[in-house]
Amino acid sequence: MKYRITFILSLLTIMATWSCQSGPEIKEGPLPKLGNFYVEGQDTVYHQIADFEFVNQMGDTVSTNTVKGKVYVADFFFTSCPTICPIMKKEMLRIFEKYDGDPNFQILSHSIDPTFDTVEMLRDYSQKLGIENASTWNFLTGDQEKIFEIGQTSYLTTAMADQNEPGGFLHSGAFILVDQKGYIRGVYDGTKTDQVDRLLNDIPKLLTK
Amino acid sequence: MRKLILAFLLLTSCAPKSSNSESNLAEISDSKVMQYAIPGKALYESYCGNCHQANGEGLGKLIPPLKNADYFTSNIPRTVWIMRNGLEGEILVNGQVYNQPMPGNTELTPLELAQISTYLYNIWGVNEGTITSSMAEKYLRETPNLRD
Repeated sequence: MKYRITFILSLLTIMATWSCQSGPEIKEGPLPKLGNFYVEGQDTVYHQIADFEFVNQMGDTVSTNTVKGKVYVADFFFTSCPTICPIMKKEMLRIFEKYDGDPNFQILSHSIDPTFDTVEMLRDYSQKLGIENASTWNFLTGDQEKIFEIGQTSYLTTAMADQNEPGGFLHSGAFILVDQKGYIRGVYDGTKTDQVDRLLNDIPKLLTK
Repeated sequence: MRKLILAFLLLTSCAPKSSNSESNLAEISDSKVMQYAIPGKALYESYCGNCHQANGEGLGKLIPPLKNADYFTSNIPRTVWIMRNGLEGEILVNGQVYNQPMPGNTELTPLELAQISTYLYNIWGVNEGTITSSMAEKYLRETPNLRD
């Protein structure tokens, strides 16, 4: 009898533990390379971020070379955004706080309203967020066409002007994780805490390489 | 034996994971207030929470907090008016200057404004009771002093 109780109790414990495991699914193992790919001879050629050159909140040029050999997270926003940007920036702050000072990690936040978001505007915005310099987190401005183009073709995300949207721009809240060689290794919804948790879990998988 | 298993089941059953914001409503005991605060919370999270955040803490020096914020707690009519009409220019909140324009929410009805306000003014240690639809209508009629 006593054994039976122990048995039932342990069975119940296992069941209870199982049924309570909800929340974000944390996958282990290497991250896939995302986007279109084609086979050239023996090799598979994966989608890569095209060359770019923008200016950050300090007025410095940030280009493909700046992030070469580094892991980075990219997103698209604008400072006067009345919808999802503040929550995206709050989530990005969590990433910043964890990786600030890591020389192998960067954040690139592209303004999709670069005419309004000048270098001075971005500097003011970033400082109000508590970002003192651009060593880790770059707020980028530049030619609007180029920013829309890299958003749509390289980062595979929505970024365009749309008068019907609050604030005048349509953009996804995506955080795009890019590896040392410019391959996209993950896309996350930057407005959702559980997806950003997953991103925080994925970044070290790339950094250790 | 059965009692033991039952007790065990109760102990190990999954407790609902309540987020911090959900527990806010637990501060409310008055049923009339609660009736307004439940839809108010949902409206707050869809219209206001992106910027002011579900926990009311705002965002850095960009977006002012509502929770424990002097500018917010000191003046209910003004808050209702700003929710509908928006705000531009500098304001001082807990000694910090904020200057990010807030868009108005012209589609919110007086009842919805009343529900959001009732929610916000009965959590975070504040206890202002029900803010009714007719109070909200009255607050909307007069432009408040926005600066102090």
